[in-house]
Amino acid sequence: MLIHTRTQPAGATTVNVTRQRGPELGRLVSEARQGSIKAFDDIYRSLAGQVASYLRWHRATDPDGLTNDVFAQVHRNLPRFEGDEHGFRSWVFTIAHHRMIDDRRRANRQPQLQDDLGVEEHMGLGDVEDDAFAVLAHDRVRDLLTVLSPDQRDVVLLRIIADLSVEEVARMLDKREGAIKALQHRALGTLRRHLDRMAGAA
Amino acid sequence: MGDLSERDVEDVLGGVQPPGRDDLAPVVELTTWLHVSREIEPPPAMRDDLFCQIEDGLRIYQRSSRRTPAHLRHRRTTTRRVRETLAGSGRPIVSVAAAAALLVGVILAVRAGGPAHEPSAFVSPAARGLPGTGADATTTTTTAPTTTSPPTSAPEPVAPADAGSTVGDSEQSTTADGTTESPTSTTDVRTRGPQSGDDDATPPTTEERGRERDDAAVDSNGPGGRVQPPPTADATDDTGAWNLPLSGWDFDLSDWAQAKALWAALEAAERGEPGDLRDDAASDGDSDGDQRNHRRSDVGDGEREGGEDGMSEPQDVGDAERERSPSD
Repeated sequence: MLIHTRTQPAGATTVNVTRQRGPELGRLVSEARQGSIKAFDDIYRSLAGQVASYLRWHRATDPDGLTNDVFAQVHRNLPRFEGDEHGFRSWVFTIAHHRMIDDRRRANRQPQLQDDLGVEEHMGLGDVEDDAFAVLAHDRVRDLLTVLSPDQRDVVLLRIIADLSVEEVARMLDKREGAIKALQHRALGTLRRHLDRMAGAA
Repeated sequence: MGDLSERDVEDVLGGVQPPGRDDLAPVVELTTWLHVSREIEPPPAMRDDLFCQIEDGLRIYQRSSRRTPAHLRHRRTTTRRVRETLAGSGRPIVSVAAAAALLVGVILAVRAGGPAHEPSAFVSPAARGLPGTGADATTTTTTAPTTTSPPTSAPEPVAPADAGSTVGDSEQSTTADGTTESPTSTTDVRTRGPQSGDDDATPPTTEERGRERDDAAVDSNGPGGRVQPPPTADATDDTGAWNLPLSGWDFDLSDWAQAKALWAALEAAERGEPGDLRDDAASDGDSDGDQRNHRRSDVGDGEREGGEDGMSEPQDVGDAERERSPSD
């Protein structure tokens, strides 16, 4: 089932997005487990962008390559997967999170020569002005995320990018739900204070 | 931030501004941008390995989750096929063996003054008028002596390729002393030879090795070659011609008694018979003899139980027959 979600930003910007969730994703997972190549391809098309975005916000060295690695592992382990569409989504992002941690460890061992090349080209919207604003906004958001602690950033990105519930994030990060709620509460407070200081400085 | 309720947090994380909370507008804008970036992020291009993995199906990964992707397996199979093709030909090994045999033969021939001394030493059995050689005698192979197993007996008549057509003559071989033996007796010699030793668990005897060399010589002679019985007479009594079937060249070494004596001494040493092999080799100044002696010193002691008189195989056979006949 395709659900058209209308997101209403504070700046009166209207964005129409299309998500595949619910019974549609569950049906695709069921068909993919039975060996349907098309079903797995549809799963890839619906989730690979989100996984790549999650990895990109975490400043992974090669988000696209890691996304391929994630789905290669998903494909290998799919016959052993048991659960519904929510569990499948949580499972995919758990793999992505682990890949991101591995990539971060590798990056710490090997100094990074270039910083996040190719982000802007993936954020292109087709218009030069929009692209410019998109780049500025992306850089601004990325800078804002740096003010968060790693745990707070993990929780915020998993809640927003991965679209996971508090319970799923707690299970993924091996924390209690109360700890997750506290982390996201503190993360939003930190962001608001930082934005207020920036507005006061301007 | 204590004024944020749990519902407000959920609204902000969902990109929705809580009612009456304009102070949260910048944060809501941030979370909204995150939502938008997630939705507009295109799926990255699928790599080839992932594509092949998906196309290969899920069945193979149900058997093993660590199976190599299809394109890598195909590459390995191709590599293996090429290796098998190269190894299956066996040409390098055959070429090296043939080149080595040819080189040793040339060295022996040059030392003996073979082709230079007697350029027309090759005498076909038909030209000799030996018995059992018909019109097809030119297709037959001469006696067994090769560079690796020199004969200790006289030259033997050439057996025709079609042995059945000349059974009466071709199944006989003439020894150096003029006696005639049937091939059956010589075969017995070859089979009874190892029995002269007491230990059955000894390493392969020299006769077995010589048999392997004979087989190799037959292989090198081509499909028309025929296994000739080993020489049965003493080398010192040899007055016949030696013909070495080396790449179409036959060398007559009949006048090289010194070399034959050396080979006889080597054969005696292989059988465990005491002899002055080193002295002979040293006196000849033949370093090859020393090398052969070193190589053949690997033969176990169990093989060196033959007679000490330097007699060759027929006498061993005779001993064996003599030992066996009373028991029978």
